[in-house]
Amino acid sequence: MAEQKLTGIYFCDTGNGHAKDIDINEIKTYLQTLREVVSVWEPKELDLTNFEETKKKLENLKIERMIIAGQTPGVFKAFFARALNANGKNGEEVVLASFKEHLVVNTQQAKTILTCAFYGVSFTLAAMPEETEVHPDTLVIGGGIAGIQASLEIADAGQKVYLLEKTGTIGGHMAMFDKTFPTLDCAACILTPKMVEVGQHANIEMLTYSEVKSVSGGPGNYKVKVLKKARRVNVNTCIGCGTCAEKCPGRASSEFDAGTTMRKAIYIPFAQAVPNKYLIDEDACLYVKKGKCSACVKVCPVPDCINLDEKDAEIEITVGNIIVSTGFKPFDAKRAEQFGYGRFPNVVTSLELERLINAGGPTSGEITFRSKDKFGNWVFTADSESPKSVAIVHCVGSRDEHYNKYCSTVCCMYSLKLAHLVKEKLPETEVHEYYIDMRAFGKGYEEFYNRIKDEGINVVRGSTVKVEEEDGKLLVKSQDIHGLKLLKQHVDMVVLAVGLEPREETKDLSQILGVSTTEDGWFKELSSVTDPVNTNVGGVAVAGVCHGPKDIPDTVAQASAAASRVIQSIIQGKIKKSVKDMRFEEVAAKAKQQS
Amino acid sequence: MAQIKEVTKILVDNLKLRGSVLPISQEAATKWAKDLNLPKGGDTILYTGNMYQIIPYINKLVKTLELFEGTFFMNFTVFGRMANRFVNVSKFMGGPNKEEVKTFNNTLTNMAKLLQKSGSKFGYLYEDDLYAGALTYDLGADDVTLAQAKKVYENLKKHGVKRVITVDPHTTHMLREVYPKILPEFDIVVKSYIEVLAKRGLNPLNNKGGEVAIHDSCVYARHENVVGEPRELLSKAGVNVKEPFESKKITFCCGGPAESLFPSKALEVGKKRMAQLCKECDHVTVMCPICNANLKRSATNGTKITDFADYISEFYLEN
Amino acid sequence: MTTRVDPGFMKKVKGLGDQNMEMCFNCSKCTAICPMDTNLLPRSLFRYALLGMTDKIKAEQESIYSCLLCKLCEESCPRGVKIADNVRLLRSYLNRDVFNI
Repeated sequence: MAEQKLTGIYFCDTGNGHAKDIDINEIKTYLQTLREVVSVWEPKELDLTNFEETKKKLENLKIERMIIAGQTPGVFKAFFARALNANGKNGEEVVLASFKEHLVVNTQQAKTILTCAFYGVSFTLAAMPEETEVHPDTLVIGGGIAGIQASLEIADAGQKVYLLEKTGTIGGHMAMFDKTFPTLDCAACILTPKMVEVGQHANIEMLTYSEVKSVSGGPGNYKVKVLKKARRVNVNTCIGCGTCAEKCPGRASSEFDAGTTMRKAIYIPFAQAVPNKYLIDEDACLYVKKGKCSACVKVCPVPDCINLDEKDAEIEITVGNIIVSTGFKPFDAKRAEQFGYGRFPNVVTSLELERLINAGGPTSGEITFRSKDKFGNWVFTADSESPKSVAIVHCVGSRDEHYNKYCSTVCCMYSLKLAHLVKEKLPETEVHEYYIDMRAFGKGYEEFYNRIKDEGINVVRGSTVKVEEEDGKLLVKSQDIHGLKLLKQHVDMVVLAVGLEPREETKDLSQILGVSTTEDGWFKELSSVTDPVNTNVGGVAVAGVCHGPKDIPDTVAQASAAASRVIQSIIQGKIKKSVKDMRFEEVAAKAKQQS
Repeated sequence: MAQIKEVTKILVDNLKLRGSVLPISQEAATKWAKDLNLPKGGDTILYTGNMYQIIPYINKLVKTLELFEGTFFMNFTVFGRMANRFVNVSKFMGGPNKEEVKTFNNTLTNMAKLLQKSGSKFGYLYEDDLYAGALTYDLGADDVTLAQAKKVYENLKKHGVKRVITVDPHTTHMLREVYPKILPEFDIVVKSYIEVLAKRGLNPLNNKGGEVAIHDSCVYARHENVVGEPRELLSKAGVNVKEPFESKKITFCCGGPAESLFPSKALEVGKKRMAQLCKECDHVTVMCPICNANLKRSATNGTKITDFADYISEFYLEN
Repeated sequence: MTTRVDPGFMKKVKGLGDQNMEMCFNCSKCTAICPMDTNLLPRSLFRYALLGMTDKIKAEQESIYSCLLCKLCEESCPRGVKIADNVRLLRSYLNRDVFNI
């Protein structure tokens, strides 16, 4: 054990919001049991505005080393270095114990971090969890692009993957997009081959229309209970002919088309769905709701394919690793009342416009006005008129204290993409974009922005505050910051660039798995800089937007990274236990040993 | 632009020297309570802050200013200010509209009657019911406002007041939010009469109903969160409440606060708001004397504007 | 035209009371929704103040005093800027340092 110097400890920010679960007195009592600790100060006990006095205090106690603990200890480093120097000691002997860096939320963790600082040992080295055997199978939760990518990587490495998906098909949000930025590649052309590959891969077992019910066991050996919701159509025998849907009287708004059109109660999510089989929406099915109607059963050409009385089933699987890739939900534009979504029919969300532009969408690629169908539902049809002017409003639900404080990162770019696509479909149509800051941060993105500006799109710096209706047109109110002009622009259609939000289920899943989430509700990685895919739970990695807003290229990269962590542990046959399960005594003993 | 400085100075000097931005006689200020036999002082008092009493005088000032705005004569306000230190210039503006004074006094009487009906026991400070300093606070004259706040607080303490019922949004905001901020020892509980009526569950005598467009005061809706209460009282009486395009939390200002400095701008904003309100109904109810005055100025096509207290009196009071 | 800036301006304003002008990230929602329909209120005004452009502040008295303090802008502000309080503080400054009231 290295020789210890007389040490003083200063807590730089007790009592601030982050430290409310930290019991300062317990920590103090503990620290005073360490032989070389001569004094522990809280901010109120040490006047840092008075350098001379503090210097004298250190001098009287013959302090040779200072540990600063708290959320942002670095702020005070220079002050104590100066004081030590002035006392003729070594100013280098200032050690930081950052609670923020190590995600400290309780007393035990604070004690651990302080102990490591005291012994001069890096926390990551002292808190190295033990290893355990690993089961070679993997569960991927969420079948969007992140889940698909991770599954394919692991399956291609020769390992078994269960890909669990909540809806009736894999594909996620990416399947709904028309083009990807900045290359304007067709999203479906990239995604559907991957989806088909997943469907046919010998190492991938898809669990569609399923949810995680509970998880037991530990890293390397998780027992996962999966709820297989009743699809009421036999996936193995359904031939996907669609006769059933033709006769089905039940209707519901289409999830895949972002509510821009209606679908039947027995439906296939979209033409390229994997598995390409029908399922029944129990909320819309007349048989399930009222016990009447069995039109689908009567017309189905395959015997016993549709079973209207099928019940939910539960299965249990054992896996060594879990990858969470549950994605996001778009911000509900109705919450931002000032933009009139739900009040004015031609205020649409970006996802709705995406479906309108898509050739496989409800209007076969025509951008048209919303109209009422014969049942009174607001839908888009190809025979409606097209807008002569469109305004795209950025940052709806993002960077706003009322909704989400964070930047959703993708909206600027997809808005530029949508502006381009509108101009491509309707060259005569005026397109106005209103933004706060243009965040074109990725490879080729700034170039894309410049290209859009050259395409005759009116890109205005200045956020839109509200949308009103005037003389049958929509009135968009904003200010042009560069030109210092108040703008009142009349347009036919307003597109709201809605941000990304954590799904409601994220909370439940984080509890089931024990993975921590950030204040905003995204899953938390172990370290944003050095370990961006693992979590505080051993054998559970995150990928994609469920970890925080990101675009498709970043999502794919993170999914591959998560897969590589999984493959690494399978090849070694060993996996680390959870950092969060390590006991304080365990880490303290290791720190002492390593010092 | 000289008028900003000069008008501000006149108002500030008035508050400093005469205890109100526009001094009015004691008799004029307390006339409304003449027949009510309210005790002087007490645990709970009705505090008018003289807002309803001053507004007719401000209207007169505005009319005077409007004539001069942007003209050569505006320069004479400099002279006015100098003179104001020695003689009360406001006195020479001529008397306010008598009808207006009567209406506003009647509104105050109605408020007191409504409160009595709801079972509330309260007194009144009569000549010690001082202006709370809303206008000088808004104009950023902090020293004067603080001095006035101290005076108001001392006065309340002197009469043993613990709870205050206010009649207008500006005084409510001053006493409830601003005073505790600038005067940390301020410990008086403040509620507006609308909140008191709603909380006490006052019931109407009849629910003959009617239709009215509601204009939320910015101060009530956004500063003081008084949004549900007036609606509750109206719907209890079977009134069909018409909400204008911008209402509740996002209510559109009547323009009134700009009155004392920029009368024509105030009128412009008032006209915009009136257009929104007229669309809903030809009868508008307001909760603030400033809104009342400015919207009345802005109303063109015979839209009726009634103070909330007067409007609900029809349902809650015997005539 | 040269513009003079007073680096100590914000210090003076802060001395008069609480303000949070620096929270503003220039989205201009406040200006677009202002009932007074001026190009200056309140975003640009805060920009001038933060930069210490006292001449601009003095020249824009009319805008500063025409604010209704109605807080409609605060309802839309994505950054929680206390706009009305900030404007009031600028008035305080003018009263004290320019008008000598």
